[in-house]
Amino acid sequence: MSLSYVSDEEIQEYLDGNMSSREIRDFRQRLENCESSQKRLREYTLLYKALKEERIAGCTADFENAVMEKLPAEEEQDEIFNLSNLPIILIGLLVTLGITAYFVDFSPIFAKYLASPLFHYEINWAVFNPLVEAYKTAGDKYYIAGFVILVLMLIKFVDYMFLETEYEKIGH
Amino acid sequence: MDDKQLINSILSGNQEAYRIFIKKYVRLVNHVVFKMIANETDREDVCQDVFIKAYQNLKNFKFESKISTWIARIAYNTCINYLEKRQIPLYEDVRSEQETLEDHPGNIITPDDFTVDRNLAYKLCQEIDELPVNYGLILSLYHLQEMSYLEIAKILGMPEGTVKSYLFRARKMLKDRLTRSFCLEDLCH
Repeated sequence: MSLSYVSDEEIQEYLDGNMSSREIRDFRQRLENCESSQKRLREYTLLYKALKEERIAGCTADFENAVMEKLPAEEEQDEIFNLSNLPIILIGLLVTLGITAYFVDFSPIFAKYLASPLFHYEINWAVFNPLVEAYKTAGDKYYIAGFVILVLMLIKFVDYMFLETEYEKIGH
Repeated sequence: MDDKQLINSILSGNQEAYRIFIKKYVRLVNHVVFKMIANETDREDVCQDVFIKAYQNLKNFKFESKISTWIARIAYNTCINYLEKRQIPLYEDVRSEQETLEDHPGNIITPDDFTVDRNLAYKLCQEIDELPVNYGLILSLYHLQEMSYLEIAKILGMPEGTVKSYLFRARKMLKDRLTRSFCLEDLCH
């Protein structure tokens, strides 16, 4: 094989425009002295030209309409919780907790909880919460308000930490 | 309207914007699907599936890549699923039954389309159809869609080096086959 021989890979690199100016100079010099390489360069050049002009069949003229007809009428709601359901969820929670608080004696549960500084913080916060005001009139049961808020915060925490990532996965 | 505006318009419920989207990308989807699927009756159904999937998943598109790469990837995956269901091997010649261009009226370059290089164009179509599926697809994405190695690699889910190697091999195979059939230089104008 002549030293001037140019490989097929080099010819393709040249035609793809992947060579540096130095490589191009070297390539052209070698090409000048090798007729077989010149012939292959011409063949590849023609092949590139033909590939660029290749015809590929297309879909029928009615293709767009066919797709449009098949599109879902409305996007499916991926969200597990819909904002419009939020008031219903809240009312349900409050009613359930209210009934539970009326019939169940939670004092043993709160016995240790009362001494906790966290509890006092919760109570202070709860006093300003109008939803909790009602509980205050029911004597000891307003302690439950702090508990309710803690439970709600816990639900939100679990939702934020674990469930929201799950919604995203469903979305993807 | 750029791609971002177009997608936002579609996401806000404007279905007509999706018609524009289809017009813009149907050629690319055709190139992928028609290269990978030999069965003519199924090709258009697969193309429709691609656009329906794209519509359903558009809200998840994060503009981390080009929309063309994204939809071509959907088209590629849809074709892979199709081939797997029918147990058609991807890296073998699915058109080994010596089908001719006459068997594929949709693929034929009609006499009206013939240029001075008609013999080459005709033979080229035949030879590309004889190549392994992925080779034909890579040739089409590189030369017709003018995609980079990196974009093709993202669509096919393979390393950039592999794409480059397949592309070189495919062109060499094509050139060798064509030069066996006739003198390429005689067709050079």
